[in-house]
Amino acid sequence: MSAPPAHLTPDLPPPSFERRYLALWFPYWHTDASMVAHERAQPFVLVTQQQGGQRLAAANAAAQAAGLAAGMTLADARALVPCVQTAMLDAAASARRLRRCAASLQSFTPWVGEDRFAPQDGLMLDVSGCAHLFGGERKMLAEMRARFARSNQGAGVGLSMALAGTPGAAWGLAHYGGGQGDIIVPPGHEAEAVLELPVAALRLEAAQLDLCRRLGLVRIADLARFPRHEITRRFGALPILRMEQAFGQAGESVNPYLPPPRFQAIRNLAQSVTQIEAVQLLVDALCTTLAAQLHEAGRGAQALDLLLTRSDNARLRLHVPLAHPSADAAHMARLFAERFARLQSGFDAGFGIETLVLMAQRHAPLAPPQDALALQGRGRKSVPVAALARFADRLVSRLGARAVVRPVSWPSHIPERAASLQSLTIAPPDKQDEAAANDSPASATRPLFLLCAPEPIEVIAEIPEGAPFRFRWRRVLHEVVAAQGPERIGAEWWRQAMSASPDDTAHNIAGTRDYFRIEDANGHRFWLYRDGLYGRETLSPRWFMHGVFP
Amino acid sequence: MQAKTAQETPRKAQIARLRQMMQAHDMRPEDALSGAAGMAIGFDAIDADLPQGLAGDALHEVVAARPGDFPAALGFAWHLAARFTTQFAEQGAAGEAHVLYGQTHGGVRDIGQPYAPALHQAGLSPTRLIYLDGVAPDDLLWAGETALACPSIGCTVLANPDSAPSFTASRRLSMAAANAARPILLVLGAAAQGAASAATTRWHICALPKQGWQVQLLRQKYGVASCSPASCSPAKAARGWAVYPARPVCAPQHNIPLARPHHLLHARQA
Repeated sequence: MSAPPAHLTPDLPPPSFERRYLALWFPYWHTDASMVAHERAQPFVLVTQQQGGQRLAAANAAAQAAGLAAGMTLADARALVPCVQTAMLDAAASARRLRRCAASLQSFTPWVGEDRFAPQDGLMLDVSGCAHLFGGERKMLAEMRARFARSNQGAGVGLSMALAGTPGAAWGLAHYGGGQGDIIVPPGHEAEAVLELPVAALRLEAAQLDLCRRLGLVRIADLARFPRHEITRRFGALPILRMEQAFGQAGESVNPYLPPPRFQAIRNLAQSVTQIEAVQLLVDALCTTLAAQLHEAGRGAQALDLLLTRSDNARLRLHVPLAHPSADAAHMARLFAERFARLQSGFDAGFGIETLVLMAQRHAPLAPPQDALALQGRGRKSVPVAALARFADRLVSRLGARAVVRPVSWPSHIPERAASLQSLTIAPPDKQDEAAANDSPASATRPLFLLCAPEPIEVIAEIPEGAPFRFRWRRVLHEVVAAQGPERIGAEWWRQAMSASPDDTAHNIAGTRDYFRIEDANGHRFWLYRDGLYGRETLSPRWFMHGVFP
Repeated sequence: MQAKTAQETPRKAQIARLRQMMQAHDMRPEDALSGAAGMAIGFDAIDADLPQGLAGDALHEVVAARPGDFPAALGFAWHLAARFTTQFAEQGAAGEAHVLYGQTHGGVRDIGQPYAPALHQAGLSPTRLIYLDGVAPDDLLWAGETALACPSIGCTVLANPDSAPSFTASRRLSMAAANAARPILLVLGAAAQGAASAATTRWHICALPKQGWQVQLLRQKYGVASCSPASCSPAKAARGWAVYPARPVCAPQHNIPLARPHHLLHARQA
């Protein structure tokens, strides 16, 4: 009897949809992602203030190789490695960076999940059905690693990845698989891949790991050898559950890291568009849809994000902040029109845009428009506020948030610190503060315009401590006709240095400034200063121009 | 003879109709002279020469007389802006009146940024000032036009030390100002002297040593007509500028509290 035809063989792969999970682990995330400048090849640790002194919270690869570990006191660490570099841990910044990192991974899969067992330095991605877009799993991981190394968040950060059919196996292999290579487990082989790992790869609790150690159970295989009821009797139900999850015998879900926005409008195009005018028309339609959603919920958008996906999977993100919550479609559309006007030169549709997503990530309750009849006095006032907000929105979307500002004064005697420019989206300071700032005796003698940075000038003075006699600023010689001063402004001794000329780092030694108000022969008035006390702080004082009077 | 008058009458009617259309479109000299919207500048010497005041619904240019006079020109413009805004707030229809001040990158480079602790010297409150920090000249004009459409902006000041806007652009701004019935001030550097412009007035500002500014009203649209309104025909006014007799108006020091404060203690002996 001959063998059955090939297409009737029973060992065809099951047609059910295989899930694939990718676990990412950054072994030295806190230190690698730290913004503090340090030598990467040298031991570097982050410390936190805890009860009983400073303790290490994270250590980089070099520090761990030298025997340092999280939880040590800083004094112990210094005793072990005297040259260790330290900085305070900024956990919030670290978490923000991880979130940005997760957002950037969304170009690989829509389902970027948080890692519940390593929330600070791990991510769990559901990449089912995504790999073929990149030419296979191996290529996808390589692409991910390359793109990650290029990105702001990922440059120089250690990363280990493991791809498997269950989150449990992927997690264990990423964390305990050894090395920082990419591990890919073929579908159905999770159990074999995991068995040789240490028991900690099962995501057990500390007490259970402790018990394992006392019983001499090192690998998962050691644990798996025992009958299940024995394990359950000694450890509780968790190890069995974790093992089944890793082997694929029990289910497990992954929560998305970034919840999908509540308000969004999506447009998938059958044929991609390349012209900006066409995109603009589509955006207008999306604005209408989104505004309707917002209206229905009684919410107003505070910031809009437009995500344009090109056919080569590159993404363009346009962010438009709003000064006041708004659900006005025409207003939104106009803001995007102005945002596009700013973009015009930088718009590159490539081979065309396929998907447009407009979302309102931040939103707030929408104040219903005031009825003018009900509130005679106040109702009238609310209209210009809204008009001003709309005006500010238009300015911001065309000119950028950095160009549309409000000058603010601060209580400081250092001229640079007494004022700053603040975005219009931030509420103005209290009227009382403003009044206090205006009442300060110095404000009457301040120039109406302050240069962005003090500019060095050449000065001839009659006596070293005196006012200038003539000076050269921007290659123009000015004869001094009248001068008032000096007004002596000392450095803030509680800070290290008063910022002086940016070109001279030696200037960071606290310098006292003598300010003069000067009028030249043409009637132009200036505010300039001599940096450093003659004789006491310096022998060759330098002069700087700092502002002009009208 | 009969036929000729019959022909002439419709032509006259047509001309009259066209004039009416032009007047409806354009700023009419009668309106400019009505003086209802005019504002006293606050310096006696100048106000004496401007009996109808400075139009509150027009484009005004303030130009630096010499390269170094740009800050002085700005000081004068801010003084006007503060007065316009106060007047606007007193009329009171729109609640809080803000001032928009925008300058180009050149302005930031030349004179820096408005310094909040000193703003009240110019009669402005930092919380009421919207400042555009270093924008392109085209964007600056766009912002000015947008500001005129916003009822919360009492006065707009745009500063560009490097170049003047084209005649078309200034015409556009001045029509927008007339439509919105709000003033807009354009502060230009000495490089922009003599540029063609549709502004209603043009001022030259020059800082005087140990005194105030020298303020010169160089040109005023419909200025001649201000002496005898009846003699000014629309056609004549539309043709171009009526040039105001150019002469220096020296504002005495005590008249300029804004920018010429008393703070020079000792003058050096010359």
